[in-house]
Amino acid sequence: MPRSLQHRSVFNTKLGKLVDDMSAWEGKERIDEEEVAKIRQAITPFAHTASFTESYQIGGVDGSGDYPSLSYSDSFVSIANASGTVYRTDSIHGLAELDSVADPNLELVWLPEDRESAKPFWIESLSNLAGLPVNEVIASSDYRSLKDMASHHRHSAAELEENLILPAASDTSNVAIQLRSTAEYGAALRLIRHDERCRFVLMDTTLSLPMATRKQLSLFYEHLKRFCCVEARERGVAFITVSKSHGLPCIDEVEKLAAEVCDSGKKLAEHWFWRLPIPDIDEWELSLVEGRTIPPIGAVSYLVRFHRNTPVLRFDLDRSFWESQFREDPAAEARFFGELDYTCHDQRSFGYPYPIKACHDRVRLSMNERTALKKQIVEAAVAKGMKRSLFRDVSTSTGHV
Amino acid sequence: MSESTTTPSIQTLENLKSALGDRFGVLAESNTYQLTVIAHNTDVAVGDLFLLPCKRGPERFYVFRTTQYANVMNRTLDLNDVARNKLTMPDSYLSQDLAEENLIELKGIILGYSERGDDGWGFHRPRRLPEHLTEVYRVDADSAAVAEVVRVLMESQLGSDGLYIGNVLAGETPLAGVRVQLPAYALSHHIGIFGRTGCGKSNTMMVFLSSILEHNRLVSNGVRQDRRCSILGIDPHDEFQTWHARTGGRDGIRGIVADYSDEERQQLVDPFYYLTGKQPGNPGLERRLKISWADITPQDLTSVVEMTDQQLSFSSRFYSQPDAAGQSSGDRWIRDLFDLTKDAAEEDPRSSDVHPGTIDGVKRRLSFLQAGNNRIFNEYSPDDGKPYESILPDVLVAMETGRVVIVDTTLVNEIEQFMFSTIVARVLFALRKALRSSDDATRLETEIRTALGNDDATGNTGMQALADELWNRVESGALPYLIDGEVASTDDLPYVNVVIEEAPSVLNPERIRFGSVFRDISRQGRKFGIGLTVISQQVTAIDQGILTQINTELTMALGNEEERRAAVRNASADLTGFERELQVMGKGQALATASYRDIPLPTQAPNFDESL
Repeated sequence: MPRSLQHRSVFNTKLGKLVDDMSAWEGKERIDEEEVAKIRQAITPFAHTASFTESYQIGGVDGSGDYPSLSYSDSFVSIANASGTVYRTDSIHGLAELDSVADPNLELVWLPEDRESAKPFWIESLSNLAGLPVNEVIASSDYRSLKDMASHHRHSAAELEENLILPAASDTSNVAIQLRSTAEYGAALRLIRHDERCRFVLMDTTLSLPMATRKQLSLFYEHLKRFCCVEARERGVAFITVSKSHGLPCIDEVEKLAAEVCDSGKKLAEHWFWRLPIPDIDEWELSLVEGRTIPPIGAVSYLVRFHRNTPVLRFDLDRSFWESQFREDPAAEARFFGELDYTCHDQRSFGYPYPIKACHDRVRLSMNERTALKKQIVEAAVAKGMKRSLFRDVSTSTGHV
Repeated sequence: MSESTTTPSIQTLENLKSALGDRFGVLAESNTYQLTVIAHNTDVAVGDLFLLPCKRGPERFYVFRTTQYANVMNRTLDLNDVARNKLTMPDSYLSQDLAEENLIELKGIILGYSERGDDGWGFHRPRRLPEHLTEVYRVDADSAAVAEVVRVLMESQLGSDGLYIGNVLAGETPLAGVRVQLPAYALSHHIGIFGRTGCGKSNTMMVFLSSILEHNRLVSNGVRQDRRCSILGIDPHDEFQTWHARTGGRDGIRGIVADYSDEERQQLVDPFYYLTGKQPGNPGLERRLKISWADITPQDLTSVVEMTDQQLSFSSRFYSQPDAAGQSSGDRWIRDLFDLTKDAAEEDPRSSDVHPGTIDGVKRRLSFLQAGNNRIFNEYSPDDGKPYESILPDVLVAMETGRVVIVDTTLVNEIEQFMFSTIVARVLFALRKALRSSDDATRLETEIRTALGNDDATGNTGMQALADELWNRVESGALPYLIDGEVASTDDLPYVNVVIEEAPSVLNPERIRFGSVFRDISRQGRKFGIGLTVISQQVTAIDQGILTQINTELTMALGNEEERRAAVRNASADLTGFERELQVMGKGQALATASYRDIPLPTQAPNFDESL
């Protein structure tokens, strides 16, 4: 029997180097006194909020799927799935779910490997998941103007549509990101436009626009993401992305500063937020960002801690929304986080907005569900005369489960 | 009231199921004692009814009734943990999801099952179980279609062409159109109505009385083939005649009678339906309640008031045995006794060996009869110009001709009220026995007189005055004991029922032990078509012998655990699983149990003001 990996000398050697590197990185002095002072000044406590005076509604969005679910010859079948939940503040239950979004945002996507052949299927699927034609989303979104600014190049909607990045069917990771993200933003758009008007619509992602600085090239979900911001703004809905992995180093230093600011007497302060500096508004830049675009183009980013048992979260808000609501009104900003805090008190996800968690639980496809869906797809295809033998379950056919 | 409808063709399980709406839950664990159903988070109530369609064997619908339920969680969460967290995590909550996280677990019993047969759906006692994971449908009381399904499935248990008492109750709501009816013959058996004050007994009784009136009307018109019913209803609050007419509500029996045609009134009501201790303001179908001292026997006295053995013995002897002149007092015994001086007592063979204290004791017990102490009893002393004046013969005629007679006892003291009920019941019982004893018409008078203790051959006076009056009515045909010259069978006569209000006062173990007339009536009345309706706030206070003879019970909300246990113990159908129901029953709600029905039926009497 071969020796286990962890007992081999090569592993121990590599491990030693790894921890040396990590330790050196950890010990690196990253923020100076001046920056510490600015961070301290920017950290703002808000009230632990256990009640509400005016009832409001909050939506949560999450997605799932199977990317790909099956392969058939040189083509791939994916299942894209996302949904939304809406809760109303409730004096008895805390939050009470409303019967708002009847069906999940579901799409069965077939993509042949040949890019040209796949393109119409891509467009059809993206339109279906968005709930609007692709060209309409591109034309109506403010992504184009943001991109023009960031890339120093003027784009037409047609140019952007023509140059949408549509990965090859076999590039399953990128296909998955595109389909899943589009499904989620499509679900968010439905919530934003829903009759049950939400004060907040939250989803587990960021407002990053990875291709914004690139000329011509873009991802459809970038357009859709920004279109959600546009629609939310027009309807007075706060469209918020929430990320559990903010990606910033030295967060323990920030936590110490927060504890000092909040003066809670505890090592770890709760109920505080810190709006990360915006380059053209604030007079300083955060060194910890280290080349990342945080806040993203067209957005405002916050680090927020609701509860000690959950990590510091990153919240991204549409910058225009922020400008109109909070820039000149710090009290409204604090109230905003207080209201969000109220939605984080469900004991199943204490410290994290429950509607997202609820939606996640609701939309997640279990292994059994995935298997059942695969079987249904194959059976339906075979009934149409296709060959059963050409179907492959891509994740299990090679034993890579 | 409308007659029950019949289903033109036998409906299939699928037909009926399609009317039930969405599935409510799924059967989980089940055994012959208890079923568990898992269902969505819904506002249910103890007592809610559910139907479980099942095809294991012939097509069946099981009827499930919930006796308890609990909130449970669907998946990994333990409800106790959630509660602990809610308490200890500052300001935490558990959001109310539409998704099936919060479920309820209902436990309950199978009332029985209805099986589709060649003749329709027949109801059976719960000897079988529905199959695994059977789907469960809630009986939605607001759905007429669902109510109709229940009616079809339970038709044999609901009764038809009988005396309507209310609608089947699904949880807290009566099912429209699912009417529960007692057979008319139930009146000739014994009925118990038990419920604490304020539980709706009066309204239930009002509904019941109007149902009897309607039954008699339908029988009289030939619509219903059955015997007529008679009931002597005691009305301690003077409600049944006018019900809420005085305060703008619905009129009572007066209103029902007013709607009759002249012929119906003659057939069903004349000469009266209402007796009262006061002078009726508008004598028509109302009469003053007057009873003669001659109607009272020592047995009546001992049925109503506490007497010692010596007092009873002396009273009986004084009533029936001859005095020094060889003449028995019979129906003059009360006047004679009041006139019996100490010296005369020593000379009278009936009292010479009786302690004076015993004689005085009997006199004291009869003192309620003397002027100033009573409103309904007239002295009987023909030698002093005080003849026999009593409504009793006419009441007996009314009872034997299928009438509802209401007796307003608001101005009558308790002893008078009980005495009146006792006398009517005793004499009716005696007369029905006499009828059974008569082989031919020529013997009937003798049998009647003998039954009343009036026997010239033996020198017994007995209830001579009443016997004379009754025989006159037999001869005139008013008392229908002779039909075409033949002695009527008791099977030709109406089912008769005498209501005993505040029953513990006369049906308690002490009173029954000392030879109450009700002891015999409770045991043998059924044979002669005479039943009692025992109305009481307590079950425990009623003599056990009486309770065992009751075979129809309307058990309403009871005051305490002991009473509920007694009600369950004495019910004519198995009430296991209904204990909680007795605790939470609302006004007008009752559990109807009967020896001739397979299952207890929770019922809601309609508000008489609103019922048609």
